[in-house]
Amino acid sequence: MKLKLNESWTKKLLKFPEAGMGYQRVDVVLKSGEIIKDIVVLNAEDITLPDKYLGLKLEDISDLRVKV
Amino acid sequence: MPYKLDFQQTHELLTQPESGMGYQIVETVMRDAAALKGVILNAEVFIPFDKMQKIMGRQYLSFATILMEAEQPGYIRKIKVISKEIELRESNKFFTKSTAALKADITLSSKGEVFKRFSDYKNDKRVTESGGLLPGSFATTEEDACNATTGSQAVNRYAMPSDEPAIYVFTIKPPEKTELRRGVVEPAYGKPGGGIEVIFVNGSSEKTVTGPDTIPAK
Repeated sequence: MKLKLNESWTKKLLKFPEAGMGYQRVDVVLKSGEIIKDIVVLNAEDITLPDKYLGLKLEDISDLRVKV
Repeated sequence: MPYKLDFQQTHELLTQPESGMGYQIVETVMRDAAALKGVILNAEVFIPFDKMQKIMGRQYLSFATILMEAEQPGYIRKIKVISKEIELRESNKFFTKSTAALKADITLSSKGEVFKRFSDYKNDKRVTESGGLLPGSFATTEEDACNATTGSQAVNRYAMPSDEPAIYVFTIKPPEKTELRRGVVEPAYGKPGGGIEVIFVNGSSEKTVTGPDTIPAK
């Protein structure tokens, strides 16, 4: 399931180093308290989550923790 | 002084694993009963650790030159491969290990050195509006980029997570002495990797990035 991050998330991600050419790895912290670990973000804007999170919205995310 | 091995010793070493590409870490007993630790190159020539700086510390030394300067066989009585038993710190000063750039030490770019960055995004966010590169961005050397002539090859060589071909190629010409970490791309995301990866530790300054050029997808 793919989500397009908004500009404020992109801005935050771009302050951190990449994990490889064109991508970063993050832990996605949800407002529910759940943490989805080790998710790839492409170009600081495209995030792919496991299918079980189908229907998740940007508003459900409370933080993106870049793994460095 | 390096020491050549005799035929029997070379044969024996070839039955044992390497410590790295083209070398084995060993302990030897010499003709005068001295016990020396060091490296054997190509199962042919032994260089004691205490002579490494003198022999390998020169800017570039071909294997042929080392062989030419080596003592003839007969100086070494006994050889034991010990690579798994000792700390390899000594040898690592002289032999490049295939490690990812993230684990590598910082080096400086040379004058005129050129780098390439592959992306499946024309609007690559790591490239700033002023033509710079953000800190912590990855690229590859111009030489290594020649191995990826299509977007699909780039995705495989640099083990990129996306399956979209990375058809956009940015060119980076950083100032001399830009801080870099250099390494080899490890396999990931079902892709083999194996390309050279370079991290721009503090990014690259304004007007150093041009492009993108476009390459075929497949």
